[in-house]
Amino acid sequence: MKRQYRITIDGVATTNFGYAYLALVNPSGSGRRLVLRSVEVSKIENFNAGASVPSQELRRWSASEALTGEDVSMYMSQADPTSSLPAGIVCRRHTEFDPESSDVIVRYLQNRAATSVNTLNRVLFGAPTTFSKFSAAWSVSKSADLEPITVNPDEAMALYNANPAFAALTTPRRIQVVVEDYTGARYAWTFSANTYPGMALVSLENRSANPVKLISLRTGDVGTTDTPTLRLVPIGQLYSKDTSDTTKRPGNYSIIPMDSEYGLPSNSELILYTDVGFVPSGVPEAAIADSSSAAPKGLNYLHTRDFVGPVYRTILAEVENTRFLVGIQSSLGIYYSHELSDLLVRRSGITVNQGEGVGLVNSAETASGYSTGAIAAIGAWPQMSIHVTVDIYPATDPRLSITGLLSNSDVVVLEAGTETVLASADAVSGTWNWDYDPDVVSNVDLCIYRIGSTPYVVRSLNLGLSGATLPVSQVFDRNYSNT
Amino acid sequence: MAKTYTVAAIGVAFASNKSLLAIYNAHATRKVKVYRVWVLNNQTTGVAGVLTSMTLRKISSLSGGTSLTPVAHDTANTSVDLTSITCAAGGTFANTAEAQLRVVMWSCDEPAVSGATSDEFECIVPLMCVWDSTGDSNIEPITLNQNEGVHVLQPGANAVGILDVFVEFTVN
Repeated sequence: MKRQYRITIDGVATTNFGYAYLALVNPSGSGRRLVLRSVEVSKIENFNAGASVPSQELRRWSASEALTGEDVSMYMSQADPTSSLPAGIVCRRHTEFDPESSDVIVRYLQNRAATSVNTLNRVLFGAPTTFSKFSAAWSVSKSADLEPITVNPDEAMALYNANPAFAALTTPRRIQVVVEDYTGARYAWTFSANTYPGMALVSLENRSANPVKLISLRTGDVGTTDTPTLRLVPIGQLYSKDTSDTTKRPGNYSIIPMDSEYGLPSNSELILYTDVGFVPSGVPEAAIADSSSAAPKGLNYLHTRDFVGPVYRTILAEVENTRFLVGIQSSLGIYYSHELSDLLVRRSGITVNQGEGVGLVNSAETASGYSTGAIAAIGAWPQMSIHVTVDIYPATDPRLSITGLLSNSDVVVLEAGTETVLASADAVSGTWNWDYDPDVVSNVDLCIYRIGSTPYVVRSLNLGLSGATLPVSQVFDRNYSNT
Repeated sequence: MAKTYTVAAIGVAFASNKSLLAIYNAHATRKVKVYRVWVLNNQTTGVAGVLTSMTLRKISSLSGGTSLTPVAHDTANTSVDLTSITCAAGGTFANTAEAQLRVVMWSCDEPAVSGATSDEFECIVPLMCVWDSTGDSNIEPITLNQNEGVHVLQPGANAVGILDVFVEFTVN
């Protein structure tokens, strides 16, 4: 049975050259094959040079409904390793809520590192450079007379991207949240989020029985408006230090069954990674073409200067941004379109077999840029929304083969322990084949009837992903009399 | 062929965290399959537009709002009807915990003659098909089983103006 899923990834970047924004892996021995049906990359950015800076508001409200957004618990750490965040306290990014039903606690302007909208700080190896720093949306006062902001049970708080008439630059933000629970234990989250107008960068929901106090909430300007050179490539092997890093494993929030009857895929058949390093498929990690001048730079996933290596699709996503009210939109509107934002993966049949993986990687580098000392598009951290549509199939089409059947045998396959007939055949001989769906059928009762032979029955025959062959020996019925 | 409908929310006004158009299936056995969704900036009255986001996401409940009547593509196809299937603009909803199916940035400002900004591109129908399961049988439609729905949500405040939303779906 085929199952189709839609994968959504927001707010991710790469912390090193050549890392994949997103990797899909089909584990060895999964018994499945994954087929990509679309890979869509939309740059959800607004860029208006010279326009005003948007404001952000820290808001709180009584939350009667559960909040949306991605749970960022994988980025949480606790000051005391023995403490445990009370159940019901959830920090999320990209939350949608009704801002008009909330109270503003503080409002501030989104800081930017530079005065020129073209000169954002660049992020190298995960650390902000130059003079960008976290600005405190809120932090607890040193005065004991002033209470911290408290989120009581069934309340929520969010840092909301207000949308003035001329919202300017939208960039990814680095978020730092520190809270204190009713026991005095403190917990911190540090993660990145996209600035989507009208949505919260970060939210804190309290469904526990006790209040939680906000100690500090800080945001930092990260990202660039540079254009990454995206490639969809096969993966050879992932860096082991990254496969064990839980912050690089998006949760079930990011995987949506196209039909809820499919359920969620298990980790034995599909694993997602973000910001993951990997070795290329089929070529050395530092691959050099015959025509190369052999001047490795280490600025792409091939760790060479050469644009060689296995690749499915390449895109220089210069359809960068929307331009609100000003000029011709550089994206020409195509990123709205579901089909036009696909990297021509539709109808490609790109298949990830067992033990294989595929990754969306930034392989940006420019030879001339490097030689003149201007390193362009390193890491390139634009605000992207990445979606993948993937089918999960059984790796093979399993078959149950019954061999050695005497002439005029009747075969019946029942759902184990029931009278539900799954398959049947009359008057067969020799070999009888039945192709089954391993996601539907697991155990069956097999019954073979023949005039003049005793019934041949096998109970609870286990059928796996690989099929089965069952030779039978039917026994002559001495007591049978056809009169 | 499964019975096909288009439901339209015409001239829907923006509001804070508003469900612009939602479809909800409460039928015990029938499946609603959403094939295409369009959002169009079809407004001519001048407004002080803002920038907001628009998401396509699944919902687990829907009530109230302005009821919308889908139009059948073929009135001679009487195989099914819309029993227990609700379409509404501005309804009260509950989002599911999953990620959004799509997110796009949206300019609420009215389009201008001979312009080429985002406001004008939002009027071009092929560009504004934010969900398309047609033309490629490998892309499944969004399937709504019992007590499942999908909607176009505008989450921000201060959004002004109006827009049109269309959803094409089947029932079988």
